[in-house]
Amino acid sequence: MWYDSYSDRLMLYARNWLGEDAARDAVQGAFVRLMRQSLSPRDPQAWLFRTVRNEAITRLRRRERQRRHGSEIAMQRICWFESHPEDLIDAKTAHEVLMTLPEAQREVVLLRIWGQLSLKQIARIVGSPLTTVHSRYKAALAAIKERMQSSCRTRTD
Amino acid sequence: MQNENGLNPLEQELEAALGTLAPTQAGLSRDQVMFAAGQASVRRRNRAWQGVSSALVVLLLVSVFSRPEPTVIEVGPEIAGADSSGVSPVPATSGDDDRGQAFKQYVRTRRAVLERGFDVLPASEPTRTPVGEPPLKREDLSDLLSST
Repeated sequence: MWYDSYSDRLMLYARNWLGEDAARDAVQGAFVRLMRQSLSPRDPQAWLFRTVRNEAITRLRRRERQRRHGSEIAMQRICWFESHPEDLIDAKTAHEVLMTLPEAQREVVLLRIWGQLSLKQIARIVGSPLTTVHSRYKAALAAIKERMQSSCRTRTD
Repeated sequence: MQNENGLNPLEQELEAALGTLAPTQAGLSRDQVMFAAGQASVRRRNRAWQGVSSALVVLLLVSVFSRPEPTVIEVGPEIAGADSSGVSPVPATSGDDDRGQAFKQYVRTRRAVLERGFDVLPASEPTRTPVGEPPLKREDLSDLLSST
């Protein structure tokens, strides 16, 4: 079922904008909407991510927290990733590095790596040209790589 | 060598390494989602019933209040030969001596005069009455009315 496959990834995506509770509500709302659809969407995976995105943006606008939400996310205590000893990258470091990215780049990374969407699908979801999405993704990966390396250097020092 | 997304091997490696990280569990239970979906569908069904019943109420109210009023046709006394400006001189009967007919004519004329005044009668022309009776004049009528 879609819920088992995507709830955690959608939650991670929703956390990009919202606090824990609001993100949970947004994801739940997306699944409820999916169940209420008389016709199944053509691309349910992309549909779910787009619905969560719309829901998150609506919530942000409604609460007029756009100015503050950056600091709200920065203050989130929950790590976005589960920590396992066999992970190649430290979960906490990955979260911190992702938080340093501009929001648009972070969104593309979340959708590409954890949403497992193609760049074309991402372009449709975020409503930007494919080339823009591609360049955002490349820039984000370069930034992550650079910040991971500097983080490793700091730790070894 | 670049892959379909235009990434070099180093970037692909980084992408794969990041992909090994599992997102924190959503903290949502499937039952919770199903319950919310059920609630939403019940709410929607209720709304449909509410919509249908309120539409029926509106229709009922409209049909009650916009019913056309019954047309009242007033049947008043008719004066033969009367036009809109008043009453013409008492029309002649067919010339027979039916006194009942003459009396009816008299009553009609009297009623018209009471309603609209003497002006309805032409001053100069005497009314034509059945044969054998003196013609009805305004003065006679005036006397007659004052006696009643």
